[in-house]
Amino acid sequence: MTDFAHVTAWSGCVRIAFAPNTASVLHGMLSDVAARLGGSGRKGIADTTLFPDAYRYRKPSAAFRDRHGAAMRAEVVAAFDRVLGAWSGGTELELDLAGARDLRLVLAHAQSAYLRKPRWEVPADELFSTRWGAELKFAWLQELESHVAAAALARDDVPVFLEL
Amino acid sequence: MQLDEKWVVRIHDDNVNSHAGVALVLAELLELPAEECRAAAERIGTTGSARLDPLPAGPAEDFVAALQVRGLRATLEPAP
Repeated sequence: MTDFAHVTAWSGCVRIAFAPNTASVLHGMLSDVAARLGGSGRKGIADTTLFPDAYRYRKPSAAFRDRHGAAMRAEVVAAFDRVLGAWSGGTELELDLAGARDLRLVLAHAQSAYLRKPRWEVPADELFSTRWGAELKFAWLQELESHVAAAALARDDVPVFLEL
Repeated sequence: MQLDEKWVVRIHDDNVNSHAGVALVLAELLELPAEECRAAAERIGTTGSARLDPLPAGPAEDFVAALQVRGLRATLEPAP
């Protein structure tokens, strides 16, 4: 079975055509991460995994999390909800600019579920040394994040076609 | 955090966000043209980070929070 995602942009709209298996697996991944964002304990995703320290030192960084952490997590959860609310895992997905921004955000944060370290701390040579051998899932999230962002940035008068 | 001092927001390069992804976030939050944002993202990738103009403490924290929500590594440091 061939996996693919064709990302096109035209006239302010981003369209993605997925292979059925790609759509199903990606939707399952995003649903799983969305559930883990709302969970706690071993399967939950901690604030320190989602968001880097805002300051050089721990104490002000912890205070920053106290002030902003809950609202920041709520924004990420809301983006997952919007993406999953608009896409039930079908092979066609059409997004306006806000929808494309949401999907990029979701694809970026979903990577946290598959890495052994916080996203921003992973050296380039360890990127594909993921949890539970999820190299392929991580690679799809990373490549699709790039393609969706590139398509969303496209000029209205220049059609974009990206394939992975 | 000293409320009366100004703070610099620094956006860091990492190995997970694409240049296009960083550019898209900058375009949204800074409301700059896509070409400028692509150039800024390339610069962050080349130099390792970029700093924005100093802001008062509250807006600086809000901006870092907005960048981090969008998956970027952004930090705060006292303005020189």
